[in-house]
Amino acid sequence: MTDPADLQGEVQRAVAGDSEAVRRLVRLLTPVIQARVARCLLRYQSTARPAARSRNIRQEVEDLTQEIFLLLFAGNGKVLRTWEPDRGLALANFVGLIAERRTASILHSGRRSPWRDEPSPPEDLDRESDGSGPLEAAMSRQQLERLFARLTEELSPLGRHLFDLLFVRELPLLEIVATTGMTADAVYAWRSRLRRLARRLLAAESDGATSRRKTSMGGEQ
Amino acid sequence: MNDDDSWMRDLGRVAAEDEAAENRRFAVWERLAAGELSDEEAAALARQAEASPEARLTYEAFRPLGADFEARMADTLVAAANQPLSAPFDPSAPKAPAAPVLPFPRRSKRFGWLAVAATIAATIGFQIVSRLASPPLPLYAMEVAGGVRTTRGEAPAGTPIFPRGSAVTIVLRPPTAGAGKVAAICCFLEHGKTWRRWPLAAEAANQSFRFAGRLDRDLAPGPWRLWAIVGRPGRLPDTPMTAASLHPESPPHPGWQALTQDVLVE
Repeated sequence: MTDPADLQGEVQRAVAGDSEAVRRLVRLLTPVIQARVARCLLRYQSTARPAARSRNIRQEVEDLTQEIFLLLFAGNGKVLRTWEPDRGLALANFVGLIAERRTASILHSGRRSPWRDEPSPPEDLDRESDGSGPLEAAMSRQQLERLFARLTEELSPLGRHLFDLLFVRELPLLEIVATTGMTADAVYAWRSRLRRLARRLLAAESDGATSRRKTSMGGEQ
Repeated sequence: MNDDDSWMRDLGRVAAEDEAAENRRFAVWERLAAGELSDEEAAALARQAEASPEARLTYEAFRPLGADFEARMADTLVAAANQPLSAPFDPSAPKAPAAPVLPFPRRSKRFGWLAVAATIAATIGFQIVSRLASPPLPLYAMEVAGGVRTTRGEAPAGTPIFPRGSAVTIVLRPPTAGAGKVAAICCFLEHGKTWRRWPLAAEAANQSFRFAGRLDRDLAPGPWRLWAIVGRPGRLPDTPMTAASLHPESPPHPGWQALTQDVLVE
């Protein structure tokens, strides 16, 4: 089943409790969610200290996949029902973005991480921000990557999709309007919103790094 | 082009480059997760996994979760959808008599069980590991519904038996709702050693919590201890192990209570 209208009907049946629709949807979406969760976890693994790496990535993938399904179906499928095929996002991509956002958020907060009890020392987090100059001029690749990860946590699937269209693929406005079915004004509004959000996250990141650096240098107060 | 456009484009470029690199790195692994590889291709990845720790990690992350996982997941979602938690859950409804507060045992006893078939829909034993001192949090009780109850044998009377895959509902509720916000988490502990997280559909009302779902079908048969932790948001322990590490003689933790229930999984 790939037709968006068919899929939308399937989603509606599933969130209404139709067990066969639920089973078909779970079968369809499990590999999508698993792959996004696995990517996030492995990305995290590659940057975490050895002692902080997952001791059972298989279990972690399974737990997070379950959690994302529960999130999608919670409150009579409130999240799943926000999928609008007309906005240009396929169901798999929509769910994938939610999975990515949720996993990134969980890993960022350490809330559900099995390696949370061994947090990284502040100096590890600050290492690459030493010597940074004016924000826009001197952002290192690591800072940009971290900022993008934070954006992924903050944005809705639609916002993340628009970031992709506007700043990654740099599509012309008319093409974005045609793809998403949004008005030009709405796209402009999203562009401003995305800039503001990125700037806010960047400032927060910079403040956090500064205060962590002060703490690690100054000791207890 | 203003400064914003310049660094936002840098941001977009980095995102695009990283995504492209990840797509190249994980393309074949994603096909593994989707079950799209031939047997030969899947076997080649398995051999690769045996050759390097990094490939092993990637293989474990992408190896298909399988039909059993999908069936269990679907069961949980269907159960939650057909038992909407908001409507029937009335925390002020009459309750079954509360079980006594028991001391917190540090070691699980060996269970020898004889069961009678009886569905539990009432309060069963709970153990308070710690209590809030200040600010005062109402003393919570844990109610577990589902399974069957034991009446004799080495296990304490009333200890429930749960077949794997069976539906379980857990309710945490105070005698009366107090002030302030409260949060709760739910999880499993096996023999004091192996933790198994248990994501459940959750509903909260008037400081009471209800978790609903099904036991995993691949749980090891035997004694398990079901854990729930309730406390002030932001003060819950990072891991259930933190709660478990609290010595029974220790003073109550000021930020949370841990409630446990021994069960037998069949």
